[in-house]
Amino acid sequence: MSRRVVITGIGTLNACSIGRDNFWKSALDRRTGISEVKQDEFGPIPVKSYGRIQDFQPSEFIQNRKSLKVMCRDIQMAVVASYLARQDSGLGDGVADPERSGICMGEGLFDHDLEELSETLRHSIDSGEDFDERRFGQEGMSYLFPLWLLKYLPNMPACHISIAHNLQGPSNTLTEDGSGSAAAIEEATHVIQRDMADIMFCGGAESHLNATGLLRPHALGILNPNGSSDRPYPVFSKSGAGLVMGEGGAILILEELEHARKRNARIYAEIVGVSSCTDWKSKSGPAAASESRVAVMFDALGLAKITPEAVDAIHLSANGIREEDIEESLAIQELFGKLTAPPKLVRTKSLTGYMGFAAASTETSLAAMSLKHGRLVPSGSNEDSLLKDPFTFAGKNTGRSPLRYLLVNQFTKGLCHHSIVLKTLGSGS
Amino acid sequence: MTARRVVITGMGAVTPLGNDVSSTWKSLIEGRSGISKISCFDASKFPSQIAGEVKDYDFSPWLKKSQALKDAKKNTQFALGACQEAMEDSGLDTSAMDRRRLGLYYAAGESGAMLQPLVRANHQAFDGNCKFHVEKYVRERLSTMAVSEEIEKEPFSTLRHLIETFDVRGPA
Repeated sequence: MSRRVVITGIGTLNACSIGRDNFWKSALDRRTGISEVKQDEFGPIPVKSYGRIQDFQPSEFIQNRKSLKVMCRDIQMAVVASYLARQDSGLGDGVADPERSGICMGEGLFDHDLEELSETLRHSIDSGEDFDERRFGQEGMSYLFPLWLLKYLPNMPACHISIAHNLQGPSNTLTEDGSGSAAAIEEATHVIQRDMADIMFCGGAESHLNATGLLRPHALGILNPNGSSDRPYPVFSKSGAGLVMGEGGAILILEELEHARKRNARIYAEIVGVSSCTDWKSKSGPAAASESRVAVMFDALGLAKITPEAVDAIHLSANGIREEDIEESLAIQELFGKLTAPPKLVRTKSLTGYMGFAAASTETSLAAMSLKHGRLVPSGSNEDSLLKDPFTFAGKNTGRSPLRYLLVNQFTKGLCHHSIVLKTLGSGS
Repeated sequence: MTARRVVITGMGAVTPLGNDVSSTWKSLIEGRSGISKISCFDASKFPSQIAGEVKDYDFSPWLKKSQALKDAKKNTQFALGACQEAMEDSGLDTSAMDRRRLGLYYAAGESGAMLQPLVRANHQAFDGNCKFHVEKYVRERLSTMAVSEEIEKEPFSTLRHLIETFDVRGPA
């Protein structure tokens, strides 16, 4: 018999709050955590707002000061998220069997602290302004503290988290850009299903709250240069104008169902279908965009053994880049458009900003909390939606009751798509 | 349900011992080492001056096929070559298969930091009192940044090229 996988712990930190409880309350009240940036904080990069975590104090969670010194802000957030998830899961004394407990994270490159590099760079320059390899080897390198590189490597969140919680089982880090934490959830699910572990921490974290981190999206022209206190970040909207970035982390604890029941764990939801594919296109024109997105959603539903009618709501991948949001809308129209009562649409990136490596795990956290509490995250007015009637956003008290199945999408253009189906674990399951 | 068994049916390699599987294997059997003095940059003042460098790898045929690869770093170049050899070695006719059943699992690394732009921007941004001027840093970086080249340093960039080149449609 195949092993079933459930979510038993959620640890989130983002612009709305540190901790999932206040995050859920913010989501229900549609209270965004995005705030205005200080004038010229990022020089000429035209950013007006950002999902900043105010007053982040990692030492409240991470006692070992030596460890803190070799963690950049992103890694600190990942580790804090893991402590929050562990507290939430009731695993306060730690995992019972370390060799059957593992980790899978979705991460990527982190931004270097420029002031930390400054002396190295200053001593690696020739008489002009060019990089001098010989001078770097002879002088510049000596200004880097020996563990400098470990502060920024993509695999270090998994390293620190596995040390912090004594996770000796399978460990991996997937570098799939914005799809990373969705890929991590998928792999963690498969690890448990294949009986290689009973518990898996999984998720992602990132912070590009600095000039280096914002340079590339600005150069690509995908940052939202507008921003007002009324509408700081429209997503899946006709007025979508790009990304408003946000920082933070989200870690889920996945567990084999019987293992969770034996320790009377609180169960948020079951993962009943998780699928992935590349962003391939064999057709041309508008149909090209929806092809792979339709396929991944369809496959996830197939693995969950449900048809489109059974889905209560879709947590959108939508990130405010209009072209990408339109591609998602075309795929949803194709798969669900013939239904007289299609799933409600849920959009949440405007609460926290787009969190990159943490986007999918944050979205899945909200979907899991929705199933636990029997309520959808209200998602604003239908007026600006990219999909027309009968598709509507979840309102304050709308949606079928009780909720049974939620679909969570994470689409990354040019790379990979993921869809995850969550199910309420009812009394008959 | 019976567990599915897995076999290896194709291999490709680009290594310091050779730029394909057979030359790599030949070097191994003959006891040759691929470690040599570093030649791809001036390491004469580094504490260690030896490494396993891939030698004489010609990426130009790839560039003739696709300009999208013009900024591909060495890790991507090696991955493409190794993947091409593995596909040919396997004899797999991908035109006849459901490409959703063709997946890719790639162990990604970084391509190495591009220090030249950072050095120049740092020189501009820090004044004599070691104060950092963010506007000068941003202006200098933007004036020299080729964003397509910048993206190539990300671990996922190799994955992107492999997916596109070999039309992988399954999990990746």
